Amino acid sequence: MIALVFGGSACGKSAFAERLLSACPGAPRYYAACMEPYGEEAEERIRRHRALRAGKGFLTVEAQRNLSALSLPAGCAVLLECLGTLTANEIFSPGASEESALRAIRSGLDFLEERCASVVLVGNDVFADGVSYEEGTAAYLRVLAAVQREAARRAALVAEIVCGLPIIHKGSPELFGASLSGKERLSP
Amino acid sequence: MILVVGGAGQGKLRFARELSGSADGDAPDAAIFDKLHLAVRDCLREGGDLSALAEKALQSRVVVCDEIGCGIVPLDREERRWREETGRLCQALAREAETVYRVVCGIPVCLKGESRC
Repeated sequence: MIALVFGGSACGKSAFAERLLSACPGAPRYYAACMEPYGEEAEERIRRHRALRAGKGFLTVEAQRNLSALSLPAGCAVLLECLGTLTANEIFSPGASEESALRAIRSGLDFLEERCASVVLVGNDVFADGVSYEEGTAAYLRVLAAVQREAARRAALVAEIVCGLPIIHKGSPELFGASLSGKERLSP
Repeated sequence: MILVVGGAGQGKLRFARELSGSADGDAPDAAIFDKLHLAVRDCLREGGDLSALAEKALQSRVVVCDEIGCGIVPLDREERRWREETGRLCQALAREAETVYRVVCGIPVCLKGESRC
């Protein structure tokens, strides 16, 4: 069972995804980290996300590229953070192309869907800034959009997060055992 | 406090004026804290106090903020910091807000609380 949780920068999508992972079926619960831990800013971001996850009992697995080679026990639950970073790692690898990146991520999704009881994918909303980018970035955007369309097709829950509040586009968080508080309105 | 967010040019201020009961006139609205995202940018540039800015926003009747976090990660570090601080501030304000709206193509979508439209 797949959930896709997406939104803009600092919208609260990670916190929502972690709530889902804590509630969903499957054990043990893994946090699959896509970010390469290089540089001061990446380290700071990783520190912040680790503090968010502290005490939730998630195991961390490094998932910078080639998801289908991850070592995961059958029936586990995985939160993958995030498709934007994974796509960048795949497409900007030496020798990679738009097609190879898309293929690698698709087979990764196949693998996770088959292997895990629950998969929470964190996606990125980077498609509405009205900017025309040069070809490298344009190819990146095409792959990420294709990956997220595919994830949404397979998903039992698609939630967009705005200011920490979920807009449910497909399914229901209850499918993952999570409930929304009464103050959180759903739309449409 | 009512928080109104959305992309640039979506009709947030017009909607905020409807909410606060003020006319479409040119007079600045005391009840509306408009362009919070620009206040965050100025505050960061001037090395100001973001928590004081948050406090000021919380005291307002209606707070209007552009969503600025939905593009490719900016190359410039200060721009990255601006959009992240704006996003986190909006999350904090949304937690405290009685009502949160997102305006899309002039249409207010109520994300939290009871819709008044």
